[in-house]
Amino acid sequence: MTCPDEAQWTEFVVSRSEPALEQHLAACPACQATVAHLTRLTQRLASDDVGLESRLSVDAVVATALRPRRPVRALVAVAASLTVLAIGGLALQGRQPEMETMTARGEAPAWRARVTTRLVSTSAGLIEPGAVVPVTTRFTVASFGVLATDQLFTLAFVADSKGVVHWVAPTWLDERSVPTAAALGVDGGFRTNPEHVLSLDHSVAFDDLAPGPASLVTMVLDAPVSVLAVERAWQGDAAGLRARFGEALVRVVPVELR
Amino acid sequence: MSMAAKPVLRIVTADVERSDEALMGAVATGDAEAFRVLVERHLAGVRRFCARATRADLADELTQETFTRLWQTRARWKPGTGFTALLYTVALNLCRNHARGQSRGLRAFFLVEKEGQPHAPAPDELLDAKEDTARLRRALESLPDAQREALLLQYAAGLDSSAVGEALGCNASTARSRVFHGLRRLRELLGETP
Repeated sequence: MTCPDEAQWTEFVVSRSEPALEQHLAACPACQATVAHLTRLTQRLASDDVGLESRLSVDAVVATALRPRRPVRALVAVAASLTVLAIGGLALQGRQPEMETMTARGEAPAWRARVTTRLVSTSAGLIEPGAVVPVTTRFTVASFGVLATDQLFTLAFVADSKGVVHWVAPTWLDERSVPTAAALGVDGGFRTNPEHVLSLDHSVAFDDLAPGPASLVTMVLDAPVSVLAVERAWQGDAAGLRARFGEALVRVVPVELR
Repeated sequence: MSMAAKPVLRIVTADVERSDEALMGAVATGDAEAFRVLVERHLAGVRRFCARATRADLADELTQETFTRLWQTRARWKPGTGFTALLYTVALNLCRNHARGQSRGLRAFFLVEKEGQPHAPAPDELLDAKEDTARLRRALESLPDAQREALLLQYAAGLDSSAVGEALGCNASTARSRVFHGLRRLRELLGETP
């Protein structure tokens, strides 16, 4: 019998339903080598060695999946307005009426840039940790500082007393998408002054914030990590986030939602 | 005491033996234990598929989201549907969605590379393995989407032709043809000899 060509052997490896080929294969070293090579290729595809070890466990996957999560439907409105305000020092000046700095702030690692992000309420006054915040508050994200030429990314969310994570940045409307951290500053055109930048590109109100103790969380990172990674690392305080995203700036401000 | 232990053992045995479809039927009614068994069975396969279809560093997140979506949409389960086809349809769609926004991710990747975080040099064999993985990834990326997806569903996920077809919205014969052409092309691209 003449040796089958490679196409036939590929078909054989895919379907394994050719008794005649099996007979030939048993007696032909050259064809055995071809089949062995094709089989090795399929085994590589089936191998768990994908270049990076998994951090997942069954317990963690189940717990995360069962945890309440409302990324999209909670949005009452996403105002697509863009406002750029120059500010002086670390105090908000010339700000819009009723807008006050509310939550987290801090500086990114010195090797990257000096930048501060804050979750801002468009209705509440200046709020310190432990303050009472209305559940109807409209949130937005402000950032300012000396931005490097490289890009930074920001994430911001409210974690309510039921453990539900409500995203302020990024926001998204398509449930099927897997959004990543929003780009911050430099190439977004927000830079009005090399020392002081404030960016407000949207505001968000939620219709289902659970009253009670809540955390207002902001992060600054050098990579656009996905919201899924952050949700998985979030365990109610900053420790989990810092352990997972070592270079990130993480600020958690506890408040009371009413 | 022994009388009390028996029923527990029976329950465990029954769960192990239940089919994916039977478990999913229970999940549809809110059975978290049945969901857990499904996660145990399919976690490795879904992660392998997501890693091959996108990037290794995204595999955990996409895998988590696949199971989260499965739980969130459990009430839509229709008896008679193939479970693995459903599961990998969810995973496939997440991977496709990710691919649409990949350019931003790649930019970040290069940014990190440029920053040059200090690290100890890896042993040669690790570098070889890394290069091997990278070559396979590049070859997979250059395949037509239909062939790559069919190939990964069959080998990375371990689905049969029928389930591959169900997940891709084509019949088993078409799925098998895509796997065939994908495998041939992959072999050519990798330029390896027996």
